[in-house]
Amino acid sequence: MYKTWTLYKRELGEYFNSPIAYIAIVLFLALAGFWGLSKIFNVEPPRADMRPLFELMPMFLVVFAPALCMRLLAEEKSSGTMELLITMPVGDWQVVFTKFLAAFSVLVLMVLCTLPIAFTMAKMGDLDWGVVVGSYAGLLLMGACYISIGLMASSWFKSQVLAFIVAAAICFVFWLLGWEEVTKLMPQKAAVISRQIFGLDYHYRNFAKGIIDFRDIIYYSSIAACCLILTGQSVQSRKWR
Amino acid sequence: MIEVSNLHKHYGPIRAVNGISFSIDRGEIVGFLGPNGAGKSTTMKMLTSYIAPTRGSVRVAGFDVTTDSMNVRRRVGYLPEDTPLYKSMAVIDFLKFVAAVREVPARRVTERLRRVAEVCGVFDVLGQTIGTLSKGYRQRVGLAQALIHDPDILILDEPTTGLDPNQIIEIRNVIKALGEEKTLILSTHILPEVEATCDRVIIIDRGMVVGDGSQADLAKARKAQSGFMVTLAGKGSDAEMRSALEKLDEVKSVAKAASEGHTFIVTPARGEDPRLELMRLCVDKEWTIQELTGHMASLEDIFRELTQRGGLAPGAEDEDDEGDNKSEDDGEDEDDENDDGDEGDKKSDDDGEDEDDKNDEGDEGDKKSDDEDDEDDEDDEDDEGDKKSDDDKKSDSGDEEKK
Repeated sequence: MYKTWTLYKRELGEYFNSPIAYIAIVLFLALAGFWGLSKIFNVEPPRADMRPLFELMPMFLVVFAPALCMRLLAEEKSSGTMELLITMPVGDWQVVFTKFLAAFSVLVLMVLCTLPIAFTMAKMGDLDWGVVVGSYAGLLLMGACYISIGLMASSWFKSQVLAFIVAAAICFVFWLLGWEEVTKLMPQKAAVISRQIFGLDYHYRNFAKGIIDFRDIIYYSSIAACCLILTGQSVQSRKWR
Repeated sequence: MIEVSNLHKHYGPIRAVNGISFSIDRGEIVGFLGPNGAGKSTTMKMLTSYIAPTRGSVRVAGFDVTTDSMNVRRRVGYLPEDTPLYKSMAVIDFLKFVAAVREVPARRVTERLRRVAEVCGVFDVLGQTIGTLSKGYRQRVGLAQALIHDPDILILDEPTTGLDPNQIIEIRNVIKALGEEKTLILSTHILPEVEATCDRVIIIDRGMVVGDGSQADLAKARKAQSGFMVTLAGKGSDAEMRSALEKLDEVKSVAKAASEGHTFIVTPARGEDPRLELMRLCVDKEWTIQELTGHMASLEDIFRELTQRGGLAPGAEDEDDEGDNKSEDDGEDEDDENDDGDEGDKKSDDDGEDEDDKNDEGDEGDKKSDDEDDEDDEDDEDDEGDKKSDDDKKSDSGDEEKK
């Protein structure tokens, strides 16, 4: 346990000892603030409603989560520190898990930095906290999936750029396949499958309505778990390749 | 302490390691020697359980590296090739991190930190970020992280690559000091390094062990090649002198050594000592012997013999080939790396089918020479006394003449 904590601390340190975390957070806030607020304030008649912002943030995460993850394993592989790390008495799973946890922590911090917007809105009007809490929960679960996808892509490549592009592409496809505008065009059955299986965004809708459904939580957890297992396999593949 | 039996590692069709077996006892310092691409690093990666063998088994400290890898990892300190380190961390944070992951008890961390910082000489840079350190210091930090948990076994993959001569000597001293209490394996393609630090040498080439033993053992095997370098003065051309020397019964072959002066490499027939006959010949011809030296084969000679012919058995000599190469060697043998390059060329003379492989090696050698010119110069000096094989004598005498 102490080892896991040490590994986690180191990973987190990599984010905060370098500009990565700060730039990501500032950029995310700038985008969310500018784009989101301009939508919120343009609603007629004016309402204390954060939904426009919550509709945007999943899209931001498609880019931000892979950006946070791209270095996690790709850098270790290209600089050779992977060998250093793996030949210490740590399990491959421990490495994967702590890396996931570190990136996820940064993402949580990044998303929660938008909370002041909610407090401001609550001051100005009658905010539906159920929707806010549900949306944040959904957003974080979705973020966990994106992070695990990003980590998985990072384990495939030595190049961080490649890891980023592939991860963002996968996240985008997931997001697209659950998007109403797209599923609408599919045949009925395909649309249901597409939404249920790939629809990261579809499952988010429930959260955004303020409904926290156990099934959605299971869905996100299993997607994240699948990606993490694949990541672990990819890390172990060095042995038999 | 370490038992390797019939170890194989194949990367697709490439057989990086092809049936290596050896065992290492507690307290030995073993030099793992081989040309670039011989399979040294691959073997070390398997010893540290970073990669799994295709076939064969490795037991380290009694534990199997595939089934019991955690126990192996706990007992081994490992410095991977090119010293990978987390560049954004401060040295002290990095060492603390390694100590924690390496399961050093919290109360002992400070003590261990102080100890390794002392041994490896990183006290002054503890607060610095690793990325800002020079190559030499990084190497020391790499060594420090391998030592922090006080392992019984240390595996160092090319620990002196890219260091300047002073740093090399320092690192060697550290290694020697460590070897007093620990089992130590170090890989290198630099021969004098092994001569300077190791008790025992395992030479591998193309994924196979081609030589294993103490330096003296190996030298014994090469004793047949022991020769003399003789410098004559007097009337007569090189060709005349050479043919006269060749006519001696006890002499197996003669090669011209340097471009200037009448210096020859004389290889005696097995078990014979041609020196007396040589004297008589010189008296007859009114030549004077200006210099006559002889010595045991150096590791380098053994290495070249083994990696070129692929076996310990002293095979037939190819003096003719070496004689032919002489002209190439003369001009450019200032450093060992060029020798490597020449090895490639020579090999292609010897047998056609391996031409490509060997030439590749030559290329690699040349590429590396940027990094290693320094060390090699220094190494040449170290070794001038005990070079023996034809080529080395050529190069040495070449050097001396230039000086």
